[in-house]
Amino acid sequence: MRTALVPIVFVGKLLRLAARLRGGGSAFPGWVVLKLMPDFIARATAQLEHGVVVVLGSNGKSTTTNMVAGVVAAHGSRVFTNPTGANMPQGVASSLLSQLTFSARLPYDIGVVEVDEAYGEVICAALRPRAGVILNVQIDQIYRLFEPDRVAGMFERIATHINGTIALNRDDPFLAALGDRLAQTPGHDVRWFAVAPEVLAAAPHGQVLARNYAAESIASDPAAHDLAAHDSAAHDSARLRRTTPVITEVTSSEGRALGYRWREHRSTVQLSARGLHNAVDAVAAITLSEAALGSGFVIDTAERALSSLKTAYGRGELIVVGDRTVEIVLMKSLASLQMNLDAFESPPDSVVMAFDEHSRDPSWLYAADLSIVQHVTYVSGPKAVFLALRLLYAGVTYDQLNTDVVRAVQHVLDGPRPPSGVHTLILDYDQMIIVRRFLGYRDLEAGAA
Amino acid sequence: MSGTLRLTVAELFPGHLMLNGDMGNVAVLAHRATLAGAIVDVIRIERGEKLPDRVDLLCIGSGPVSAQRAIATDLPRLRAPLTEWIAEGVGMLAVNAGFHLLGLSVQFRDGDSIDGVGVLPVATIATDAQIVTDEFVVDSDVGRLIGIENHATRVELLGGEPLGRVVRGVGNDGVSEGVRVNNALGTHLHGPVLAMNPSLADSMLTRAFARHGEHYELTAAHQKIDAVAHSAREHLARIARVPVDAP
Repeated sequence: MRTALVPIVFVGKLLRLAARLRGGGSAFPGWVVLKLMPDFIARATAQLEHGVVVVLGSNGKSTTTNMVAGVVAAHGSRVFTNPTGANMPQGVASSLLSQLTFSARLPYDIGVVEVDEAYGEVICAALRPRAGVILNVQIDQIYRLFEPDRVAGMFERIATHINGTIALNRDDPFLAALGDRLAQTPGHDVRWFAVAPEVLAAAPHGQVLARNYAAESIASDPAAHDLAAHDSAAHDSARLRRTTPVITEVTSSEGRALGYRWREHRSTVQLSARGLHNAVDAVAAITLSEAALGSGFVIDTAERALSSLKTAYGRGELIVVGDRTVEIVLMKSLASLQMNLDAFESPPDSVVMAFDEHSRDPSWLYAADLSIVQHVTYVSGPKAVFLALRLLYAGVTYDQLNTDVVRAVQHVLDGPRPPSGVHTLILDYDQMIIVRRFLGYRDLEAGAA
Repeated sequence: MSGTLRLTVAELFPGHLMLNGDMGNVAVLAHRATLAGAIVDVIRIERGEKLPDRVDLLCIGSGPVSAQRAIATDLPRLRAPLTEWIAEGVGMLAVNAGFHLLGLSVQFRDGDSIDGVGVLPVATIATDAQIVTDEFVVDSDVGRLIGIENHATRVELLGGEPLGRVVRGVGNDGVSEGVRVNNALGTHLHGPVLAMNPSLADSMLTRAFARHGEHYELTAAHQKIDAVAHSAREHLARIARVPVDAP
């Protein structure tokens, strides 16, 4: 099996080298390799002695993958994982190429793989994961995914490829319904994670989950309910959900501090980034890690790993530049922006917001509650005007518009130190990459000086 | 403006029809009316909730098929009051699903169909492919409209006037876009169409003010916003390779 991989890996690695010399295109080698050997991902990952676990969901995939990889590694396993964003087939193949040896050996024990929902079926058919987590169904990227019901359908089909434990968010109406159905299917072990009701009630916009209108009509329409009562499967399913306990629960979320319950164990842990979304990702990660490690799972080891992790690339990341701290807040979608804004403890006093050309259809900005942001110093990025227009209608003032995000960030860093000492950069994915590269360069400069 | 004008802007089914920033249209109408000196009350009317006796402006947004089915039984009761409001000249903006549901019927992809409110003369049939146009351009009575379309429907006009003619994108049928009956508009220009197209917002507001015998006048604050809106329009027009204003 491995010998057939050797020439493919050789070609792939050459392409990777060429792509890196040209400076970019990291998914291209993966694309070529999959053309040459369509079952490349299955063959390469078949070597992992403890198999693969997968992370899915509208938002929080990178953070959760980072957490699960950290927790499993802290238990002594060698963990293969795909870097943030490399979650489509060519990206997964490229990250495998980077880790395979020239003799096509994958020197790891277990894989923790983040998977894009639209490619989830084909990737999971190849990975044959023995456990997985689905974090949430949110209104996300409608130019590509159209509507949340369609995404929920994707998760439903993906779940059939996960043979073993599936960890699901019980607060999510689509995933709650999915879990109820899976619990009655042989071969699936459903484990719930959730947020305690009083914590959820106190969150300004909850978890920004999509509504499941079809399920709501069954629950609220008395005629439909009677029908459901006659349908024993539906009846059993409602009863099942009430009696299947939540394994891991957020019991408090204050800033970076997560209070949680795992089975009978209650504790508090300082996470690397603040907010309820990070707290949910952490309980999801605990639930999946336990499934991945089985009886070898030790909660204290997991907790130590969670408290010592670095933030996932650009997610609530803090970068120190001289006497300032720069905080990067990602705005990928309505849910990611809103959860990040809800995590602010007070209005940020120095803000740069930037929107890239690659962010298609900025309409969702009008669904966001921006009231915590009272003033923005710079609106920036190629699509700065779309941000500016939204801010004007939200009653948020801004000082300047500059489409070049590097200049905008440079200007705020050269300007007066804000009272908080923190510059908050609210960026979409592509602008985050540009700013991070720029700040990394500054770090080097500071180090050299 | 002579006296103190009080306007009611209503949003219909905001809990169901809110897929992508359609609520921005309410914010735009309320903000521009306030800048022009009116006092604005924004009200939300959810499924099963009583309609107010009168409104000045009404917005309806878009939502997934499941949400459309969930409100289907609540649509017939709207027919009489909405017919009356349209006849009186109340300004309405209905986007995507909201537009289709104000029509006569909506047929979904699985072949199932539901009756709409029946106040706009259109029939809607789902298409197999999703129609996504990142730079959707339509020429209308109030000038060139620029925005985004994202739907999976074909709309047949059974009367009334289209809102405009498609310059780029698909709209109702590749040629015409939307519908207009008196001051009620249906369109596929989704998200904050009024933020991107202040001329359309102002045409609605001018009529709403006039119904109270008031004159809607733009201020410097409007012009500051509209300079930014113009840049956003130019941005999409540049990508679409069309002039920002109709020839």
